[in-house]
Amino acid sequence: MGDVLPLLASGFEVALRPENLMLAFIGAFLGTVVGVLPGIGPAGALAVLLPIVLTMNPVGAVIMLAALYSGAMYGGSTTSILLNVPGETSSVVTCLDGHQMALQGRAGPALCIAAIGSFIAGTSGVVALMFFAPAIADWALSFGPPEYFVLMIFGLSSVAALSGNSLAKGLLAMTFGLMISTIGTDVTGVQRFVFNMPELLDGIEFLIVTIGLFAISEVLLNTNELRAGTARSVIRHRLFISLREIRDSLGSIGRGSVIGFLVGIMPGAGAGVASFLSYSVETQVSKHPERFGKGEIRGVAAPESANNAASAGAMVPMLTLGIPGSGTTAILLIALISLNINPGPLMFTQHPEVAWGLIAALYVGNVMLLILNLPLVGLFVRLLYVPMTLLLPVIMVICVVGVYNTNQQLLDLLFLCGFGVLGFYMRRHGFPLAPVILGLVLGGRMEEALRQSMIMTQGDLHLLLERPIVVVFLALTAVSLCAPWAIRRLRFRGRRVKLETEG
Amino acid sequence: MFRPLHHPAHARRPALAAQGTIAALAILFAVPSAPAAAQSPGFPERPLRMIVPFAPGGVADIVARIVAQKMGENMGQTVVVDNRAGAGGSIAAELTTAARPDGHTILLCTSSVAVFNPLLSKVKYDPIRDFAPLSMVSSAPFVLLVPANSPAGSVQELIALARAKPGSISFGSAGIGSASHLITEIFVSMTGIKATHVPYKGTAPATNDLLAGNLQMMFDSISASVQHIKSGRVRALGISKRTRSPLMPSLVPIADSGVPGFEGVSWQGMCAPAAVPRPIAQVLTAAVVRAVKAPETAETFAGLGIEGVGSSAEEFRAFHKAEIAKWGKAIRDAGIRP
Repeated sequence: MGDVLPLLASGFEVALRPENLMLAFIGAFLGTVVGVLPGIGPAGALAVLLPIVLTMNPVGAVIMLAALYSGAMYGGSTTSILLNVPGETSSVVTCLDGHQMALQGRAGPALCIAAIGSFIAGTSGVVALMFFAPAIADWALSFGPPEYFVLMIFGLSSVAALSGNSLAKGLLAMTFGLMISTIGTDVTGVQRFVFNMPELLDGIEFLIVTIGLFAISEVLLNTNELRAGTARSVIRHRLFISLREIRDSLGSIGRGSVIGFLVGIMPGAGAGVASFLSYSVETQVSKHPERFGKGEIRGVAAPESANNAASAGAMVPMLTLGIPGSGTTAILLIALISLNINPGPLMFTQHPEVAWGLIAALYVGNVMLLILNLPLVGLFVRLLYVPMTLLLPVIMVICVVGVYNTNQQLLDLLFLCGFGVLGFYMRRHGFPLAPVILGLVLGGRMEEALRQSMIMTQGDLHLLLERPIVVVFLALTAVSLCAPWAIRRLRFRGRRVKLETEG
Repeated sequence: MFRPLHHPAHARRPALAAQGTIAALAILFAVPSAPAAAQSPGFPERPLRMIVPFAPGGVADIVARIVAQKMGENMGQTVVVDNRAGAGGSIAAELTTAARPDGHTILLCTSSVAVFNPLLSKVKYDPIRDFAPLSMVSSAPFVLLVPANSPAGSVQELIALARAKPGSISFGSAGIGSASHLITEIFVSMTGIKATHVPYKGTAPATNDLLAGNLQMMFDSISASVQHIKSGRVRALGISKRTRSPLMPSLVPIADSGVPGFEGVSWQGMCAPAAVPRPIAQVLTAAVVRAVKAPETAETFAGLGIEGVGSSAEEFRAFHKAEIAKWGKAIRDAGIRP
């Protein structure tokens, strides 16, 4: 590893050239804008830029795409926190505590910690990528279908953390999400719940469900409050984060980074899973799990760190094996291929300037994001002072345009309305929304992995227990399911013993 | 929904074709000097729309974008790429059949849209009758891969291994009815071996499991596998073409290593709605062929692991019909329900 630093230095030499810095800035800025707008995710943004980028020189193109990628990952948190409108599935969890913080007048600290967490996670993710990429790539390879299946099961166990007051309602919501994930063509080619509509063959987009359930229902709820005259009074928002809040969140950022990076490495798991898992872990290691969902800053720091670290992690299989781990890296991969650079084990020897330029660009992109976004916090928070009568129609328009833009299908808009009304109903009756997204995100991949495992083992699932990673994840799932209950039991007993001695 | 088999327009086509050829020749000779103007008067009169049945960012999308750009330069009008992914390409195909057949709407018709999807699912279009083929743009052979720890060093050894231990071989694919699945089914039926199919969603997760040794064989594209072959994580046993590929000349055709006649490629072509007038179709064909033959196009194609073709409309139609017959048989033999 002694030769890494000079190579990295030459990478920085490339990335810090004025024209490349400019490209990184444009990329980070566009990424943030795209991330903020619900409906255009990182993958969509990269795809739109692709034709332009292909005409540029490879190093500049890679730098711009890398910055855009980090930017879009971060931008999603802004609307989640301020408006309870997640831009993509990976920022759904951020809504839970982030929006509560905004309602309490702490929008500034929430946005700051999202930026700081993203920066730390993104940067440490790149460091890990640089030093351990080849070693962890092999580890990611050991994840076959059985391992994915149990990873997804483990993911589902985070429903408890997302359920709020009623686990039963959370489970119902998650089951509903799992049910939606079965719509469309399954892995063996069978069409399910399609009702002769070709639009449904590929299932319902995550985005439509997310925006419908969260954004449209938010607009409906607020409109209702406006009409009833119970609209929230304008509160003064604190702009800056205190040192204490940063110190409180550092542990969460660290855990989120590690979880995010590891989950990101596995092809197909993705940033969404990473953010759900890290949130769940936070509620379990916290001394005050009851604070989560009510504006706990750690509940923002952990998932936002996780989804940024995951985006760095997803680079590992792409750069070392040439296997894209997510939709976004798939587009990045195609961009590199069409620039005549084949990512894979040989990229670092054949195109060192691009490989190290990319790594340096990821650093630069992360710094750029922090510089760009901390001052913007003040501007973004002002959004909350905009009267609801103006803000709500704008949100509605952006959501409808964003959803229509994905596939240009009218049916999608009908679904958007349907999920919006459903979300409204669910929130009025105390059903948590996040478990729906959890079930939806995990369900498809989970079923696919189970069916593949069963084909491989010819239906004998006992064989799965011979694989060590499977056993580890099953054990983790058991711990995660029992821990809250066990901890409550222990505490309760402790208190009772105390009472008895006092009495 | 389907038009009657013997549509009057269908019967009239040869006469139209002859007229069209004469008209196009006349136009070509009339304005020989300016290539951008060598076309039917008034066509193209506005930007063209190229419908691509995939989301932006795939290999087919890149192919479409390069051809669109070059076609635009040839014809003096922009060709706008319109990505309409979904339903295995049905949405894009139906959009094309519904468009005005004035040559301003064309479709990137790939093997999945024009062969596999109509054979495997109920679609509202007939790939032969509803489209006028313009030119075959490119084709991509498959490489037969085994993981590095596989005892098989050649196609023959792989076949022997599968025969010695039936049920020990499982192969991955991008999904039921995908090109990588069907090409393996043809291989399996031609060699008479038994192999278990594990479907994935897309080739990336399948490649992952091949590298890890969870799968024993797989057919994959050159561009996706070249890195793994060079790094030694997988071994390439042969190529699914009758001739060696200039992109990987060291690979022996599988047809030459004990499976005579074995061949199967995935391809991209350009089509227009069936009723497009012949003179206009010929302007489009010429523009596609010139776009494919451009040096920059060839360079990008090589990077993507595909070979430029640029055939005539007639060659493309004959090839297309042969493809439907060939893969239709593979689907019936493999017992995949339509």
